[in-house]
Amino acid sequence: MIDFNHVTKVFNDDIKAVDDISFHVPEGNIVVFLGPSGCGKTTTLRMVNRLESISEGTISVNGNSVNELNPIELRRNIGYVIQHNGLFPNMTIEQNVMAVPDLLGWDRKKKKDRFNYLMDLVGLNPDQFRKRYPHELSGGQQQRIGIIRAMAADPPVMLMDEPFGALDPIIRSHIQNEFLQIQEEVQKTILFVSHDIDEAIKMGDKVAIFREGQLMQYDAPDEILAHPTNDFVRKFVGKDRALKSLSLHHIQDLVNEQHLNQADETNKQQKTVPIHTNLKDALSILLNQEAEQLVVQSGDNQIGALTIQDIENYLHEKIM
Amino acid sequence: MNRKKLLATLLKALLSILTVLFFVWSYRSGYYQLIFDDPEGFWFLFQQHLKMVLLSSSLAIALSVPLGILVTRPKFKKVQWLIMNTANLGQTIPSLAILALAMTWMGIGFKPAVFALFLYSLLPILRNTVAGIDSIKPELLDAARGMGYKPYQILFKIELPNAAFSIFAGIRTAVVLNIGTAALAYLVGGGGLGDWIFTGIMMRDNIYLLSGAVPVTLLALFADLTLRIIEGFVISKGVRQSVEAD
Repeated sequence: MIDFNHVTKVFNDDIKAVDDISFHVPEGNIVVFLGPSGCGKTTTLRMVNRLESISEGTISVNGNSVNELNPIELRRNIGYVIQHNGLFPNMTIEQNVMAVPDLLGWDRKKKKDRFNYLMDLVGLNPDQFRKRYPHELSGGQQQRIGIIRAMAADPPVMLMDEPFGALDPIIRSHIQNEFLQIQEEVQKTILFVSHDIDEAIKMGDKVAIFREGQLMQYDAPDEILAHPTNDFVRKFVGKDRALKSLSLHHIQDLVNEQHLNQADETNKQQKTVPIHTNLKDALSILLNQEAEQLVVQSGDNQIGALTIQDIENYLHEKIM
Repeated sequence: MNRKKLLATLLKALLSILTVLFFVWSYRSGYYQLIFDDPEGFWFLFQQHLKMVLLSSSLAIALSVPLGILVTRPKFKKVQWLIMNTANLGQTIPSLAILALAMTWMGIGFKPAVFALFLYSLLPILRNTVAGIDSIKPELLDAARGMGYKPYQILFKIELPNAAFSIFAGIRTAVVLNIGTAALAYLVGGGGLGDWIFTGIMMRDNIYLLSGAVPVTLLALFADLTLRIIEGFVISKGVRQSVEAD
């Protein structure tokens, strides 16, 4: 869907912000650009809709090199979300959300229907917010509006530059989940800049780790956690990469690989958990000494009992 | 906060009462007799005054706003300091001196007065236009560019509406100042209500003085009010409220 082909960005003739980067983003994937500040991730993102020019190499979207497209047309076909939502204070919520459809000349009925649909998608009442202004909304609401504004004209590709960076942790996690649900429905191809490894693991189908303009590793999150290609990546993902990777696996995955013991009916220290619980949560419950074993439930059936030992075995045999 | 509001309200009420008392006193003392004795003369001077203000203010708006827009374009950012410093320098010259300079060049009469008032109104509008546009958060412009707004669409749909509060404040300041300064036009033979005010001063005659000065004051208040009402229609509610909330 999106191809980066030996892309280089040079500022002021000598500062290489992005250095010969090549990778492919499959359709419908979320790819997270991860790295410390100044690593070139935002520049790489901004070259896709030509907010930054490309010094060398090509970026193509759907097989068309972005350099050969009209930048205005290109941008109207790519959703763009930034950290501080960028909502226009002079426009109502409806005008903000319908900004791009407005530029594209949609008729009033189509805009209204689209607005109602998008507001429902993020759980905001369209009629309640239609005539209000951005400053009347909370930070979380503003960011939701920022996201659906980028989706307004239904672009196949979205660029998101630290979209949740300015939110507090609880609201951030909530909106992340909400966004993943929306993504299941809309299946956009998304480039997502973040400096937060946890966010990258949670949101990304693939993660691209940048350092000083170079691409260090481009892989699925569990691959990056299990097999960091170099010291920089290993350090960047953190010492707790084993724990982090557990959050990417579910009890179901473990059951597919190894047999669980029957639950010991006499043991009072047990707790029932659904089979789609992730292993990090399961381990947390065990470590919190809320239970000595977890009884895994799938529908109405009890599959067996899960212990810390089972999780450790699975981790060492299958993940790391 | 509430105490502050209460104090402000009390102060306003007190000022209003004093103003009303002043009017009653001055009216009873017959200080406005001249307006009733010579209504045609009053209208003539009043219209002259108004014409000078309208003409010079319109010209100033017509030059300052586009100039302000121009120097905030990325291409002209480099000359912004030059324009702003020139304008600032202009403002430090006393209005009387500008009138005198205009007179040496254009002679006496209506024209030099309008020209001097025009020059004097340029800066407040220019400064507020530039400040208003420059204070727009860069992320708004980045969002607009990234969404596919063309440069002129960014100007008319994002920059000007969001700077409107500041631009209008500049225009209001300029017009109100202008109405007062226009009284000096008398000195270069420009006419206006300054005729009566200066006659009053020279003859120590309160009737002339107040018959000229009070209408000028009322005109300034009325202009301020009218412009505020226009702002209410022109400036987006979202911008007004977010400015007031800050």
